[in-house]
Amino acid sequence: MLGSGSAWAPSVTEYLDDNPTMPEPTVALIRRIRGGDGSARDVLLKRYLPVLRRWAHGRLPASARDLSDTDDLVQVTLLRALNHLEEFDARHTGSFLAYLRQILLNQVRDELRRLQRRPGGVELDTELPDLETPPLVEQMLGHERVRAYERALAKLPKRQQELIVMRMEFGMSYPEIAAEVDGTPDAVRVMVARAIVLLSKELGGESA
Amino acid sequence: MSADHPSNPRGEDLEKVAARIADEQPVNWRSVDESDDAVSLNGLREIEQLAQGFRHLQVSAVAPKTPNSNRFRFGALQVLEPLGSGAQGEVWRAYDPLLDLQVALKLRKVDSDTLSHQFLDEARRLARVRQANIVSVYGAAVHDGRAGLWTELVRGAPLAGLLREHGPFPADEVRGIGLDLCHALAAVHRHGLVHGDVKAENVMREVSGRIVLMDFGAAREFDVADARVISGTLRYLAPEVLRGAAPSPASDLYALAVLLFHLLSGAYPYTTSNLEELLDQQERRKRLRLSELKPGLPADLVRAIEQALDVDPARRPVSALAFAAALASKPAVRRPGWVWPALGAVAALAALIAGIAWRNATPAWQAQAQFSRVGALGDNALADGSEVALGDRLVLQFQSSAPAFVYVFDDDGSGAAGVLFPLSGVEPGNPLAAAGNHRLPGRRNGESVAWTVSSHAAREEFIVVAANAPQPELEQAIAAWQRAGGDAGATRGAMGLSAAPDGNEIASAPLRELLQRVERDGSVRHWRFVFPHTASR
Repeated sequence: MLGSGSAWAPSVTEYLDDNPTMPEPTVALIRRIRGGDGSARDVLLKRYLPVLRRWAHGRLPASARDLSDTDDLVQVTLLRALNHLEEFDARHTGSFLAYLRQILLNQVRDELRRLQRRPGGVELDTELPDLETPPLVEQMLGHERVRAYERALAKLPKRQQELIVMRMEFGMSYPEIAAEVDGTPDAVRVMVARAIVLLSKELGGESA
Repeated sequence: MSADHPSNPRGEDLEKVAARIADEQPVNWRSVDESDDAVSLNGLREIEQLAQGFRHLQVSAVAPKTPNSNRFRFGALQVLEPLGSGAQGEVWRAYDPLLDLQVALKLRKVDSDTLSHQFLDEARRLARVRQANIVSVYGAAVHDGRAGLWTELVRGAPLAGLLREHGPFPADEVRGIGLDLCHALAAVHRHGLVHGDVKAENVMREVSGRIVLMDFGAAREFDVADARVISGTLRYLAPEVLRGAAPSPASDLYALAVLLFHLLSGAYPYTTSNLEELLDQQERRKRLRLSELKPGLPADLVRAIEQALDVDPARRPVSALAFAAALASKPAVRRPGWVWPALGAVAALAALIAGIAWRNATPAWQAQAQFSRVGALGDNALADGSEVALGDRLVLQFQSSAPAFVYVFDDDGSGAAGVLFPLSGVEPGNPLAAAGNHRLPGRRNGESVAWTVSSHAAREEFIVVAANAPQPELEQAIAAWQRAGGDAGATRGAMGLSAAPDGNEIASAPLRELLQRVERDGSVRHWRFVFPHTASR
């Protein structure tokens, strides 16, 4: 026996926000927020906080990746972005998540500078990989490998960059990405695979 | 569309590898042909490493190191978060570092030796049941006195949730779900097992549209005397099981019929969830009828479900496959438009997933049609939402249990259509022999040919018609098309030519009208497939 199926409800499911099938597209949420809908703001916060927290966790150096620090950084970044939503223009900056990632990256760099100014800290270049205490992502993958990946990624069209970041770096599911790019999960899956093929050509060239 | 010979399939292979990486699936590099495109393969290896690294970061980030964290290890598995729990079992999301996959870990709360032994024994047997609509088992073990079983992590939603969200399912959708579950149960029963707890909460629709039967084995622990244990599934339990009989394939079919009844109507056959009242209603054969609850449903579908709901197990279908045959007496076309409203093609593509069409008059006649993209390592079925691109080479896999006359048309969205099959000079022609697996368009001068996407368009729309006799309307239309197209005629597609000049094609609207006229015959099946074009590749 494998257990009481009658007792196992809900079953093995990944729920996305409050909708088990498809999350509301981010562009629609942004429209609602701009229209003064506070509930849409909550939905977006709930959607992005865990994603960005996971991502920031790997990008921060050991001294700053305590859970509370990461949470603070991410929450402040996200709230600031939502308070200045008028600065986001999807036509020019791509998806909202990519926009947030860029803001967060800047925040991380600011945080690193702050840490470096502490007594005992070492004044270093503001580039992330040059810190004495490298972020987890570089501890795990190696400085050169991460830099090569970032260089190759930067050569791709913006949309392909976003798809790869959302899937690989943020660990977002296909329905979540679909909500971000206003597509369907299956189409997103195909697009991600093709973006990875493009990346492989750039990355293979780098390491050849 | 046009047809030509195999050319450059590498992109297809690379994409398959990339898709496995994106899906967090292991890549079998030994099976990858490394004879060319070394740069890309090298890059993909790097990306696989990067993806694993990023994934580890995500895993470590979602498991904060706090004293109250409920994260723990089960053997080699890193248990991440609870997904569901009940009186006797828990389901967790876990990470398997050996498989490098996220899995669903099911743990027993009760730790007696007997239960653990039963649990593992059942898991071992279930692990042997490999079927597309059954959740895959990866392993089972006992650690620290707890028996656990880990399976694939199915990403989607239970039918119960979809029903709550969207209301009753369309009849064709239910028919397709029923067919999938019949085949799943047939596999289970073949291995001497019973599921014992078929219900809307235990059937998932994956994001890809796949129907997956989950959570095996509850029935044997079923104790009629303890209403608390069975309360969740009481309405699905067969009358004989409620009266103390052991679960059987017939009781699984009863539960499936309750599920289909529920999906169609939102109600259950019996109006009570009280055990005594239920027994009484069953005794008096006092239950709701689908035909009264939902007038207008296909009579054959209602008949099949009502038969499987019979109080007497001997009067139900004799097997899961017999139930499938009864359900399939009308074409099964899924149209989950409310699931993926953004993809207009899905309603049509769902027929591709179901892949099975049955002729109305004779349930024994089965036909199956599925498009594939030709790749270096073989044909790859085009799944729901698949995009096609310029240069893609497509074939149609067609099977039929009886000789069939097949016609294939294509419309690239320009409002004009072309004939893709039958093609003069290409073998086989109509009728296609029974029981064979035909790969259309077929062979010319002994060589396989395929249809090639040869023009830019928003999408490709295919109409496939199968009939047990020649279709005069279609034959005449094709002949007219050939005459207008000149010498190349209908074979021009196979010659690598694409769009015919204006006026030489069958316009889409007339074609649709034509098909509607043909369809009235009742012995004709048609499928519609739509594949959007990728923006760039």
